[in-house]
Amino acid sequence: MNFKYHFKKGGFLVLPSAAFFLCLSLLPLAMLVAFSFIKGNLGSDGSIAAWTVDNFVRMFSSWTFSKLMLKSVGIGLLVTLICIILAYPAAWGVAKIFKAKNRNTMVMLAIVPFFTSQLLLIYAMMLILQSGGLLMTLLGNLGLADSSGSILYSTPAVVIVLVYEYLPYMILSLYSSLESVEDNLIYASHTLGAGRFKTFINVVLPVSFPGLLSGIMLVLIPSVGSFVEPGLVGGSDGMMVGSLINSQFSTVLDMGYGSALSFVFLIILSLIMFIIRTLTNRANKSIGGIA
Amino acid sequence: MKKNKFNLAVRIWTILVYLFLFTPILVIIIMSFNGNKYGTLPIDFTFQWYVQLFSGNSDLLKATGLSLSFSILVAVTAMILGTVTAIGMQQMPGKWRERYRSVTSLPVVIPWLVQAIALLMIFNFIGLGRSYIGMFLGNTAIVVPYVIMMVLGRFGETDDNTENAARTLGAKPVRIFFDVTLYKLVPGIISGTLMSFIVCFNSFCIQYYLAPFGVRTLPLEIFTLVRSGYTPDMNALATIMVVATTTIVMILNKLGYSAKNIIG
Amino acid sequence: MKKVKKYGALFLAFVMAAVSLSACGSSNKESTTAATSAATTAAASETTAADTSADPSEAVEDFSGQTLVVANWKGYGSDAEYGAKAFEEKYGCKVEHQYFTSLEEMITMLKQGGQGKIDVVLPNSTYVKVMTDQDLLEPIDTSKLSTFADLREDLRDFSDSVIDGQYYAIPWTWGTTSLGYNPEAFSEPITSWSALWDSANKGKVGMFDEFDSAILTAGIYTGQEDLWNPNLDEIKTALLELKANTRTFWASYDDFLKPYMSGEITLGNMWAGTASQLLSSGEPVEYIYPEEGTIAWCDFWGIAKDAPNYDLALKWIEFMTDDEFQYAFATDENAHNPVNTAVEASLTDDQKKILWMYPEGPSKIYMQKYMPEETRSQWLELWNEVKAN
Repeated sequence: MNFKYHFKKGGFLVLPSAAFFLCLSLLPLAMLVAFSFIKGNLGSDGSIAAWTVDNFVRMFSSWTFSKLMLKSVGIGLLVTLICIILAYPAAWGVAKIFKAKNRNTMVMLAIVPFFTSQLLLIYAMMLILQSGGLLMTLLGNLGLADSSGSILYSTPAVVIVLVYEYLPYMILSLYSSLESVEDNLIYASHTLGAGRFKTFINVVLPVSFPGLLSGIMLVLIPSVGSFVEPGLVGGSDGMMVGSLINSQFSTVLDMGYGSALSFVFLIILSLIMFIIRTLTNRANKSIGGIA
Repeated sequence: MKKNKFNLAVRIWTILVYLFLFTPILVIIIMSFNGNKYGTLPIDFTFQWYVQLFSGNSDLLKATGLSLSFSILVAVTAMILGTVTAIGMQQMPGKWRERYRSVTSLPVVIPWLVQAIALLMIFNFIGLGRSYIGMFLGNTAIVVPYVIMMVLGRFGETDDNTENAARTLGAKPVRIFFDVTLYKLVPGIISGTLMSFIVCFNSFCIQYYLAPFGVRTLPLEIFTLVRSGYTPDMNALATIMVVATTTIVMILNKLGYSAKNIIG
Repeated sequence: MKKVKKYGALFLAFVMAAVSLSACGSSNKESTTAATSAATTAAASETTAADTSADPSEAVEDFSGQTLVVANWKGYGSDAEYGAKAFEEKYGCKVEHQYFTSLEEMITMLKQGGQGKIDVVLPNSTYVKVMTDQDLLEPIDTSKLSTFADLREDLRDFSDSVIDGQYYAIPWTWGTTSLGYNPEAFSEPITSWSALWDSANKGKVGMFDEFDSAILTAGIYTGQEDLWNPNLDEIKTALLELKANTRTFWASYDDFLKPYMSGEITLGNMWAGTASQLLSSGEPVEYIYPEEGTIAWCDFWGIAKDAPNYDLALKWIEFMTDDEFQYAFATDENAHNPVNTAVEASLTDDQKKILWMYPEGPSKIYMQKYMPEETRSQWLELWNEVKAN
């Protein structure tokens, strides 16, 4: 079957979603980029005051944006890393260790938290993390910390809350990949003498890369752009870049600046994802995984 | 022997992680019975929040019902659209697939707030404005990438040997599609659809900007209490939802298992 | 195939369960859809039949079939039992609320499809001129407001609400954003804003996350000549110092109450209403009007441009400023200052205490007012810089 045939066949199926993405993603994106160059806001009749690069100049004339961006990316990466560490064994457990009949249950259970509102869960976390709350009392009893202290209203609190919020996404992504690791492969690898670690590196890890990558994307990007969580539990030092962008639309309406901020934010984020994807692909190839 | 210890360790880890996921939920459940309005200890046991939730024309219940039915609609649409797209993408040559993949990840990479605003502007431009259709399109656009990602992932881990085998054995393409291809994609389809449902159910930004006036989904309903603070009947609602979904999950688990025995 | 069947069964059951859950909400959905369709036909049918059985001087017009669309904060009086519900009963109409979570969003709501659908809006003293500048408000026919004469003159004749003798906004409630503290945490009463900057209170302060009140407060503290044209460098330094003392920022009653009740913060700036709530739930709190001055704000009702139910909107404003509502609003668990002078006079000392208006209200008030867009952007930028530091 030649290229054209495959392309046409595949293309035909892809057409409806292509139209979808064109109108609902590419077009808005184009508008966003366009708006980064307008001054201030659209008039109520849709008129544009002026075209300018001022927004970009403004963005970098103070350290605010850059500082926040750096901090947010750092927090995002940390949250993603913790999610991977927590989710990987758990996903493996659900995929392989728990009995088959319970697997679906475990998967569904992982998303039960999502049937409560995000905001409520954050409030509940606040109750747990606050001074005299669950966590501090526990640590106090273990003698690890003073129970009247509190980690609420600080960056660690933001990390904890974000990890909590996005962990299920990572679990589900990894699960969907790990589930397909054939037991036979593992047995074979053991029979051939490979230790558990080697089996993991050469057999399991490569297969899980697609799930790992999607998981990273699903956790990293929302985390970096989050503003509700840092606002509620971040304390006075908790501000992240999302709050900056959001304030351009909800506190003061400055479409031009807000769009410019979003545009640069997108570029940086895409760069990071590109780097991560390249790194994992390279790692994948080096251990001889499925491309 | 080694394997058992290892398995045990993983099992414990998994349970701990799930405990972590459920502890705040436990807190919400406990607090839903706490008469103290600001959620402080000690607990003053009461059912009043449940009463308040079900009394009169509760906004919360209305909003929940709307969110549920709306999210199901969006998830199912995304499931169909996403699966078809992923299958199509699979058949495209690798280079094009990667390019299209970047297009499909756009809604995930662009902050929702920004997408919501841009979408509203476009909808206003074409005269659609705030509407159910607009909200539906916006939410679906946001979640389709999840389905695509999950289904494509399944393609990546499995090969087409089974399809080839089926073909050589003389099965018709339609049969191959349903019995072989779709079957192997099912875990991906399910996780993708589930994710779509969840994201849509919780998606505040999109619904905030695109929902028609007077229409409030659950995230909107809760978030609009930003000035006066949250009311404890939300805890009651959350508790009910958690208990309901967990019960359904448990029942399905039993059903699924016994059904399997019956079907044999 | 079995697996597909199993997954399929799972999915179907899930869908069925969810649909049946949503059925709970669907019976209530009817009223929403009815209200929405009523809104679209409201423009066509306007009934003003007088109630013949009542005393002519108290004739209540019947607005049945019309739906008034109100834009307000959620849980802020207009959707209370004594608010929308009482209004619906009195005039036989329906009231629909469209909630916003920031004033900027209220304006965006109007500009993007809200005009022609929304009847009344609630800007505050800062936003009235923003709205009139963008031609978003209808002039109010004050001759039809029986409560007009009862309103506090200083608020009623607020400079931004009157243009060429026409009123565009009617005051509804006002308040202060002043200093509250936990008397049990301090050996001596606090009398000055400098307490927020006192290094002894490091990590114990809760600040309102609103850029204008933050900059105005810093302005008062640093003794600026013109609070609305301050020396921004001095302000920035002051705010950075304040931030070092701040534990967390709050945006709603709740945000402040939680850390206060668990002892994480012991003082900060807050609305009088926050202190009232603390007081009525038995928490120790003192709300003072510092000697240097206090920031005040006022919420106004305005009629949106192209409002579909202008006459009903007028009735709404009258209702909201009437004795009955204002009294209920002032004695609610979340007490709010009345603008109706008759109601003000009728309040008992205890009620005034809860409103923190006993024995007297604040003496030196700086009422938040309009700022040009560039200034607002500039101030927001400053505030974001401070927060990001």
